[in-house]
Amino acid sequence: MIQLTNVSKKYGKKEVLKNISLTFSSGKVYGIVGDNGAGKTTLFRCIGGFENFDGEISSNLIPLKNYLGFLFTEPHFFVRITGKEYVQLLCNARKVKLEKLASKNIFDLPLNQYVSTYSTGMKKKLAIFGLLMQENDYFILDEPFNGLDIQSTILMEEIILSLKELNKIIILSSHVFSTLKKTCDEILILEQGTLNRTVKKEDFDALESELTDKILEKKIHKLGLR
Amino acid sequence: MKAYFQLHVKMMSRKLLEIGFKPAFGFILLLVCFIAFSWFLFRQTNYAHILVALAAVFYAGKLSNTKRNDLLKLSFGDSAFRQLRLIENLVLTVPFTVILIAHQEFIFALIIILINSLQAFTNAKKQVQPVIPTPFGKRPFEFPSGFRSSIIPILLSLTIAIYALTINNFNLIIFSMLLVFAIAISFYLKAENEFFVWIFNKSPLKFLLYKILVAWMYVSLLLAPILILLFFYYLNEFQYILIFLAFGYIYLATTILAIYACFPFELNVENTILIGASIFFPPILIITIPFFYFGAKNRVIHYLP
Repeated sequence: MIQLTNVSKKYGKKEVLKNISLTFSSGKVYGIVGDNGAGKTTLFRCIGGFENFDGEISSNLIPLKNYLGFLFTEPHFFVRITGKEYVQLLCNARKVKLEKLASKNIFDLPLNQYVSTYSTGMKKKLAIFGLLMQENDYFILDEPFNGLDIQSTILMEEIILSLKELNKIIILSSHVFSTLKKTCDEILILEQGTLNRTVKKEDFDALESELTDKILEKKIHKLGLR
Repeated sequence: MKAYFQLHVKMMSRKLLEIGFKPAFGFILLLVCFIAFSWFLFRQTNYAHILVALAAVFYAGKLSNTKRNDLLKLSFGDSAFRQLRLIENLVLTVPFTVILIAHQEFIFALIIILINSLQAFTNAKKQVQPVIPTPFGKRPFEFPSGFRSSIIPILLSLTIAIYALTINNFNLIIFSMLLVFAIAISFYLKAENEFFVWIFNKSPLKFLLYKILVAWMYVSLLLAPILILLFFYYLNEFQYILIFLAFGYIYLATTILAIYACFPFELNVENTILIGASIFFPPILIITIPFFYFGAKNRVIHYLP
């Protein structure tokens, strides 16, 4: 369980998160949806402990960060480091023994090559693979489907569902609604730093129509396309 | 083209402002540090002119990055691009040339001008990237990454050591040993992304100790061939070897602490000056090491509560 109580975050005078209170339960997948700049990444960074914030974040496993796999939208890599060495670094940091790496390489990554030779999608897969090898209990995945090909997207969806079955907590953001629909138990709508509402699985279709209507009504006609 | 160079001055000014200096003062300080360091180098070793020339060629080479060149070529067109790159390389070469001329190393001054002019028309394209094996893969990342990036200077330092042995020059072998330490220190100069500190399940003290111990262990591996030569051929000088070795390990640890004392930002000018001052006057290490340690601890505690 991860519990957020009145979490607020300001950058200077700008309030990016406003009194967010939430509980994430084990064995569930949570999707965070919001416009660009709504505060999704900041919320993730606060949970991860990258940012100072007002309020409280607690978890049943303490300290939370030691059990958390955190996927950045754009993961960072070092020059002249191979995929295998990257995974080794992540496992060393968490004191996890790395075994049978080749057989676990379900994304078919060229682990003995430099990460700098990987494509964007391959880098994303490597970052995800590293987090999975760390054997975390909580996962924050910021845009995990970005850059993935169709096969890997399907694989990623299945991985998320498998983690759920293992009673892990998965919190993810995605701009692709179909992937959220497939994987999430609840979708949380973040608007300008405020948690607008929580939508349950049975209402996902209605939410999708609502979001589509909102975009079509308010945005597309402004382009004046003819 | 003028706008391009103005933009570069602006970028450098911003960088100086970020680390807490007014640009005009920062530029003067950089110049003073460069002159002071060169002066120090020429006082310490007879091979300073080679090091200065190598540094000039190395830094100009960094500007020949393919992606950078492609962008410039696309933006300015072929002919302006060549002019721009030539000017860029020559501007970068000026301070090194002045230092070499001041020490009457005219041939080396001419060589770096020629090499860097030629470098302006080269593309550091890496068609294939064969993976260089390292013995450091068990504990990535600074050493495997740094070793592969600095393979030429490392081989050069080993060559210097072997050459020194053939001419029976103890001081030169010691110099090659210190060069390996300097190369190892360079592996740490760029601060890593905060994620790579955050992922560790360690307290700040244990994390910093881990970083230092890994650095010491791996630099010892790099030094092994030189140390074998030293202890085999100059065992009677072992007390000097140990003193220089100890200094190398201490400065490596000090630099690591200094870098984490600025984390997640790059090493700032204040800490660089303090490290420089510690090299000139080692007794102040008694103050700088604890100062950097507490600074580093305060910085990484945010990521390792």
